[in-house]
Amino acid sequence: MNRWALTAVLSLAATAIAAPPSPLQADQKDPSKPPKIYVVPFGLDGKGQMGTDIHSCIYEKVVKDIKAKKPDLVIISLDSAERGRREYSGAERDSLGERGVNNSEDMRTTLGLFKQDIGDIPQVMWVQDSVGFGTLFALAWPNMYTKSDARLWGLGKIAMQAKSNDHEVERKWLAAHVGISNGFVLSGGHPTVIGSAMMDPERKLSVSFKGRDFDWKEDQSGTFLIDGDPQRVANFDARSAEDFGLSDGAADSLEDLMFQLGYREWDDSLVKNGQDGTKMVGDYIKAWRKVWDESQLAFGECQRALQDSGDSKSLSKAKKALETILEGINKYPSVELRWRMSGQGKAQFEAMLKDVKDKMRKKSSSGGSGGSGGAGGMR
Amino acid sequence: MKRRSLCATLFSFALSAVAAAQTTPPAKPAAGASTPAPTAKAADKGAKGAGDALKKPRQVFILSQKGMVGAGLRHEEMEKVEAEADKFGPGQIIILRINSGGGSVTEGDRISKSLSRIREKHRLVAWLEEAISGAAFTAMHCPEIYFMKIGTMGSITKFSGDGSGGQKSAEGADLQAWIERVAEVAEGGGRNGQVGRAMVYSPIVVSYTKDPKTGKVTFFPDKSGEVVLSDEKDNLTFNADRAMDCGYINGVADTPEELFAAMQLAPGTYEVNDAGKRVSEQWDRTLEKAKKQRTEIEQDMRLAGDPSVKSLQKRIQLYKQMQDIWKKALPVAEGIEGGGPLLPPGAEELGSDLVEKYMVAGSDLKPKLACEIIDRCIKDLQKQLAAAKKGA
Repeated sequence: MNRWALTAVLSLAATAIAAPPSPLQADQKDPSKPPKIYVVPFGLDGKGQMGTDIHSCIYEKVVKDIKAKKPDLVIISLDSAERGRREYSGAERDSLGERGVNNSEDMRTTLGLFKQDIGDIPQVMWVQDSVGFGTLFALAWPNMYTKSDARLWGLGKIAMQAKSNDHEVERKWLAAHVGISNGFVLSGGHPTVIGSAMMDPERKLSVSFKGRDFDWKEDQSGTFLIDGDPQRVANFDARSAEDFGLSDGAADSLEDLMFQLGYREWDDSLVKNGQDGTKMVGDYIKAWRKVWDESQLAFGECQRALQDSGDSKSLSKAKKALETILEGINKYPSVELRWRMSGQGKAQFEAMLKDVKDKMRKKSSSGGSGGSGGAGGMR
Repeated sequence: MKRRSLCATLFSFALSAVAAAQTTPPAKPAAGASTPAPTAKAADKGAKGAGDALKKPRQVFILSQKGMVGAGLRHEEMEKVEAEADKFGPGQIIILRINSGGGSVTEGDRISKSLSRIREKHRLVAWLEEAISGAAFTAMHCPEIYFMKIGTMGSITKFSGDGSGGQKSAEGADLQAWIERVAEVAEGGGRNGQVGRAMVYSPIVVSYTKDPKTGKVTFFPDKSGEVVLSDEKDNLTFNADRAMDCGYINGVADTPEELFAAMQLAPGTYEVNDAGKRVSEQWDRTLEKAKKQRTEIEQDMRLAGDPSVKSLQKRIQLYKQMQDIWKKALPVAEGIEGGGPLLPPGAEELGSDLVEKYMVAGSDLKPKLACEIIDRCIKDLQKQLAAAKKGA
């Protein structure tokens, strides 16, 4: 090792020794030990649809696992770009059926699981990318980091949902949706004026510095104009989010993030051994999507069977297909949601199944008498 | 008239009947209305005259009210808890934990009467996760309001169906009456009325100034205050930050423990009574069961087939099940969450006189009338059954 390298190593070591521990480490049960980290994906590998991939049903299990494994730091990795993913072109995006669903009730359930059930464990939100309602989750944690190319976009969908022919009805729904959604913004400790400007195109947003603090304004009077266009909502990317204090910094890898958080050593055994939330969430996403695919195939089979002659064999096929669909719906709320998004509900499938069973019963009772007759003939 | 058109008529009538009903002002609490919202101590006035009852730990009832106003959020459950609280004498604590996006204004009127009475006897508290529209109207009857950190309250604009699947907001005298009604309710709960008005109609403006020394808040019906709560474009909906800053709510709490602390309930002075939980759980179960039963009836009706003896017998059985739902779960039978009134096909021909009465009746009479309509349908089926048996 040459002299310069040695000096560099020594000075790095000195920095590491002198560096104060992460403020989050002070919140650990035992601040003297390196933190055991646990990563929870909110969306994974490009699959981050709000309401399906990101649903409280899986986080109930994850939070249970967190309670059992007692990590010192929970890292929530948000990847929910929905239809806005960079790798898809316009037409492809629209054909994906991946648009997120604004289910604030379920989002509050998920938030409650993290903030109340395991609120004593330090948590960090790490945004990979967020376009759509997932951005509300991004803003709901006070400690937020982003990837260097992450976006915090897409809350303008809320204004679109409120559209009505009646002006007052539209203002009512817009105010209601903005209010409900701002609950998440407030939960992350951010001023609601930011959330409102991200949801309502008519709201303006600017900011000034007051010492080290940010002074957000609902007009254009601040030093920096964030959004003054009445046709568009305010959006942030990694850079602007950091510049204006929404995020605490940019981190492109887990190591980066841990350094940004002020840790110099940590225990990532749960992450490396597939014992954190990544496998659970990944398995869940794969599983419900597989069931959804099977469910769609079953629906096609059912339709074909019902178009057939109506004999016992085709009725039996239709019955089996409908049972497969209903089993999927009962097992995964995400499958039910996907069916609802395509205009069909559980009740419809139940009615179809009842109808098919009824037809089978009638067929078997008429066939049954025929059978008896046949039996009689044999005597 | 086909079944669908009957449903539509009933629905639009119900909404216009609401408009007439909602001009009744709520009873005001004994103590005069004041601004800003009363503190927890002031809200203890309900305990006055409680005498010996106060020496015992006060009973705390938490009634969870979720879903549509008129379905999951109803005066009936509030009154059941009131009766439980009354057993312990005045001065008990009733907490309405609300998570609702609104619903029937007619039910709002009944809730208004119930809560105006309850707050005279007991300490009445609203604890809000989501209180939009009719749910905000409900919450404003409570002398004390607490938000969850994520909580929201407002958007009380009244609207009805426009007859073509859209929504139409109230106008003219109806709108004016509703604006004043909400303002009265806000003032009756001890809060500023202009804030209530701004929750109803977007052009109404409200602002406030807070004295930095005393913390006293003064509201203005224009933009002259330091903080504009709602400009001429907005329909006002509160989040915890603004609601707390202007004193419209009493505190923020995410858990019952935090709530009790915010309410300044000293340990040992209160006991959580599970009657509130029992009442809400029981109604939730009834609703769920009835919804499932209604779906099954509707499915079976479609499958009932030709008027054979067996099919007629099945229909009679299904009609009786319909009556059962009318008796046990009115919101499901009325179809306020969708689907319209649960009546047999052909009911409007067989019971046209009763249907007319049904359309002008209040909810207290509707189950009886609906059951009578169904009775006629059953009798008709029984005649058909007798004829079918003879024919067979």
